[in-house]
Amino acid sequence: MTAVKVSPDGTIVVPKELLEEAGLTKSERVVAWVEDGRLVIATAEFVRKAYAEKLKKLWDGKSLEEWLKEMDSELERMRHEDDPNRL
Amino acid sequence: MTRTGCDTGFVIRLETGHSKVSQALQEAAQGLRLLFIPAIVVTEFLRLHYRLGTGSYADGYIAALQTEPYVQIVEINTAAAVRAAKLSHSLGLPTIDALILAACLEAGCDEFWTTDKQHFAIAEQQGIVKVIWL
Repeated sequence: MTAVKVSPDGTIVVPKELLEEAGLTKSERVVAWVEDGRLVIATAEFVRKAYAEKLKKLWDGKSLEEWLKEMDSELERMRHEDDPNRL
Repeated sequence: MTRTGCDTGFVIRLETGHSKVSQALQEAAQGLRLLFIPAIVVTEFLRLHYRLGTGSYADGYIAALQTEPYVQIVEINTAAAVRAAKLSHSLGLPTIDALILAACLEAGCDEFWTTDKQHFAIAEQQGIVKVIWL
């Protein structure tokens, strides 16, 4: 059985067979993160799509312009909190 | 190849598929542009999303973005820090804006994409950088 190995230096090695089983090609760009105590590896493309979906839910019927206006205002508010003298 | 400096407003638009920014992204994918994102822009972008409750997704988005060959995250090195002090002093820029602009200039950016007319119009007026307004 193919298993994930941990090297003495702490590197986690996922065998080629497992990556192939997950449909990952040699040149695939992937992102890894820890979630609920598990290491998750996903393609960059998957992460981008999942994120776009999440954002669309956040928009909640607003137009893109309205959403961007809100984000810009929030950014400006955040900067102003850091530096109230900021003009 | 155009070296494009990106302010936080650019990254916010990048994630939403804003038309002008999407066009720039396509050009980058075609090898016509390199996108330079100062590390401090990453800080602002993520902090904004933590406030909105979407931080973990934004973390993943930035990680995914970094895998793109046409995206470079620009560290704030000593040269950028010194340049930022001069920009802040001479143009009256807030420190964070000065650090963002200085990081892009030190990375050799030909242009700087921003939404912030209030703070960066003066940099354009004085011929410090070509600004693309969003």
